[in-house]
Amino acid sequence: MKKNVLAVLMLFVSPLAAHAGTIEMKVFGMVCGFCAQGIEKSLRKLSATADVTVSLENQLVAVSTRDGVDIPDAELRKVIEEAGYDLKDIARTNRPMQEIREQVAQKQ
Amino acid sequence: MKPLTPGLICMLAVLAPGGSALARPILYSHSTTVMAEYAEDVMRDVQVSYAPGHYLAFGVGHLELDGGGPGVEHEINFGRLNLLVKRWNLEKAQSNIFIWGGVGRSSIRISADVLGSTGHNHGGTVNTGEAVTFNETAGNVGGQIDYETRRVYTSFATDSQFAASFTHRMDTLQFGIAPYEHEANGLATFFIVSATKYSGNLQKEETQVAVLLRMFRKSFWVEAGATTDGKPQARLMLTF
Repeated sequence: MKKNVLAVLMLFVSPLAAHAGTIEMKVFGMVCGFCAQGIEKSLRKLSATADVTVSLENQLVAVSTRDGVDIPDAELRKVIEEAGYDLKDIARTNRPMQEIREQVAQKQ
Repeated sequence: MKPLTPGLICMLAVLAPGGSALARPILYSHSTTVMAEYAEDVMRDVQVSYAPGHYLAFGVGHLELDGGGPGVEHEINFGRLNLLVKRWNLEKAQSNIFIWGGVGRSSIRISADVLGSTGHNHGGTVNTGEAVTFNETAGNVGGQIDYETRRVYTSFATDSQFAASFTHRMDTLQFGIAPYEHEANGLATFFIVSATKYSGNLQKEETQVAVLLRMFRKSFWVEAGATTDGKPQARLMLTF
């Protein structure tokens, strides 16, 4: 019985557990503010996107998502490639966007 | 439309060339770009384009060419298609090959004073003392290859305007260095050296070298400077 309850709970919890709130992507080819602007605009059009920040120095595109919603890797790859850039890596982290922005600002 | 006679072509041979040599013909998907260019004694140019994807943009423009002296005006209104043929995305660099082409309407107006002072017969098509305007279909083709990082910018662009009565071509080589690496929301600054070779039957063949300061931030891009003989140049670009 306990195992069944646990399994049912996991069904509800697992989609949330899979989403860590922030998606950090390694993107190649970004060399100017226009590159960043194009990617940012495209990502902000996704309904799941809450916030976006880009660092040219770190080749980083970070997206925070709305509560309980994730963006599939395939959709992220499509957005980045349609913007004209190469997506090299995707990581889901718990880092708040403010922390990422502060880290980027320190390197400027 | 009145045909251009050899006499008029000779007279127009002092017209300076034109054409846009802006940094990049396509910026990003679903963007609208307004570009303007000024080069003293050479040209003025305004273009508006829309990019439905990062590899394609189409737009319209108006080009005015100087160099014919007082009383000679040359304008071209055109539509143009820009294509990104190939992009290489490197870790901290980007390289592109663009091509473009378009068609338009060329209009050359020569005032009565100019016609009177030349003493040409113009094949009997023009009466001395009368201003004339020659309208004809004009074409445009060009391409650009570039390589850029946040520290270095290099590009080579070629652009040709042509019609039944004229051709002119610009080949531009640019090299730029940034004193610092800008961030996504920061101000970018580049010092650019630009060398342009003008050729074709509308102008004497010559090469102009210009030193320019290029700055851009977010959706605004501006470049200004002067040629080595002191003629100012300015270009600006706004994207939204």
